[in-house]
Amino acid sequence: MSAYLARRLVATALTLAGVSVLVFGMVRLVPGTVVEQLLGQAAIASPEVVASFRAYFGLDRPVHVQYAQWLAGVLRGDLGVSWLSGRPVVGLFVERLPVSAELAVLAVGWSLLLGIPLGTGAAVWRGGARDAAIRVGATLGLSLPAFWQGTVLILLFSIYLGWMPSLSWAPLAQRPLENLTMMALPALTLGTATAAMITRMSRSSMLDVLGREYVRTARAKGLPESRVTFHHALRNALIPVVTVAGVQLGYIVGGIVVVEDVFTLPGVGRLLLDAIFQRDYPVVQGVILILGALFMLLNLAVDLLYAALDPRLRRG
Amino acid sequence: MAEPASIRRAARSPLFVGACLVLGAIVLAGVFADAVAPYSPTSVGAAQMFAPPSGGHWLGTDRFGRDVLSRIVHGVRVSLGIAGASILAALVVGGVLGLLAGVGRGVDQLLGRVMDVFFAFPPILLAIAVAAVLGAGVGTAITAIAVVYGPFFFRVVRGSVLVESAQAYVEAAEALGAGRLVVLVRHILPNIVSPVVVQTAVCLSYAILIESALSYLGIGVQPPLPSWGTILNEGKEFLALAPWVSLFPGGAIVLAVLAFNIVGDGLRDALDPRTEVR
Repeated sequence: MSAYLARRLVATALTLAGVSVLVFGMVRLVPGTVVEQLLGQAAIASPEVVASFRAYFGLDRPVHVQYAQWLAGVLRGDLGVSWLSGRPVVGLFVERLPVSAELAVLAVGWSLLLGIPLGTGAAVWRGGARDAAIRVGATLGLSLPAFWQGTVLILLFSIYLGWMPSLSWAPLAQRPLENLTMMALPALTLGTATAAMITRMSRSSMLDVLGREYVRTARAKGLPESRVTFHHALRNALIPVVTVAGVQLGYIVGGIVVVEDVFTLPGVGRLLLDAIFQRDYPVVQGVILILGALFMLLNLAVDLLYAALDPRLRRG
Repeated sequence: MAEPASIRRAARSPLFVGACLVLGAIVLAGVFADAVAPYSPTSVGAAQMFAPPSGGHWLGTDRFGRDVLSRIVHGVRVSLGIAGASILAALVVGGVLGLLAGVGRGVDQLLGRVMDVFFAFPPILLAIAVAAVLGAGVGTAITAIAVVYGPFFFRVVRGSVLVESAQAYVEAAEALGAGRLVVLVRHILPNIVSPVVVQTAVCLSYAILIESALSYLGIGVQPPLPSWGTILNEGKEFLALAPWVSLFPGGAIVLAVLAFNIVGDGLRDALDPRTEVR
């Protein structure tokens, strides 16, 4: 286990280093230099203005020096300041984080609540009409684009049923009930693909376990089928499902950008998109770096959890 | 390679056949868009603004009075074209690198590390990052999706090469004095087509989703060019007034993605013995 842990940690560190180079490099790949894009007409008018701006942003130094300085900042928790508002990127991110985090947790939560029973049911009813219906439903769930599902839900609830959540943002701590009514549809939208994924995974994992020797032994002992299903099979079948849920939480990190746009929620995704449209590159860079790192750490945590849950890996 | 029997079994599934027919119809509609679409996708009619679906305009018109059905039909070229081009690029680049990883342990380790960096991002976030750098446009959408899915093809090809390399026919070829590259291209490559085909079908469905998401967000295909995502983007401000502008292109996306998913699942069951339906 400790050798495995060490290998995983080293690999994660190497990948994080690669991620930092990629994120650092991305702004330098912008066609036409960033400064000229920012200055627009002024850049054509006066080369001196461009030069002074380049010096101000440190762009006149060699690339490796720029990278070293940037990385040193990142490691100290300093991701630079927004070109637009002059505020630190980390502060902007932290300010928006609660909305996105709440959305992600709600989405994963409901997708587990729906996906595990559905997948288990499909496995128990294997080959029947109910199994087929659940499988088709899961494929449909994977094929729904979040932005369109969100649009349909808004249309249905807000416009046709007149169920209008307030337009001004209600923070969870201050107006919890209002907040949850605002979050219900976004979370439903964000979690649909995940629920479909978890349904599929629960089904195949459950089928796998139901064919094992120890399940046959349990049945041979004369235990009732419900006890075999829930006590012996489900507990073991859930191990891979947990890891899928963890990985899906990572994918939800990406889906947040789309869902926050559809429902105009003031989260991290909104921050990223606004920064892209306004060419506020430090914010773009910072948000992508943090979300990428978050995604990686989630994957690492899932791998370790899997190793801890599965005794075969624990001994190795 | 797949046995004809397993393909025949897949062809007996009505769902699989239906999905293939839907895809065929969509592709044909796109190829013959000029003949199929009742109007030009860009012809503007001030008198026809936001006309609801009717006999004249089956799926209604948008804020410029353009026919939504015609825009969706012409959007097939844009949306499926971008998906196809980007997955082809991902397949070629990822596939070649995946084969190269089979040359030796050092190359494999290096390429694997580089690919890990791309896997470190959720797909849609990586695509958004590429779009943020390159600026919106068709080329950007293609590049962004290729960057996201190239590593997927790398992983599939690399893994298949590893499995095949342990087979007796590879040892035989090597014993006969064939060089590693020759073995990879002449002997291993023809034997790893199945997993690559499955991966292609699945990735095409993701590619359509990502292209439409980028265009919906306004950082992919730009108006007036009609991609399914762009049409949705143009409709989102007028949802209460003219829901048909948003609803129908989304329906087209769901139909295409669902069809690719079903075809992908069917191919996987038929071609990949490891994930046989129990």
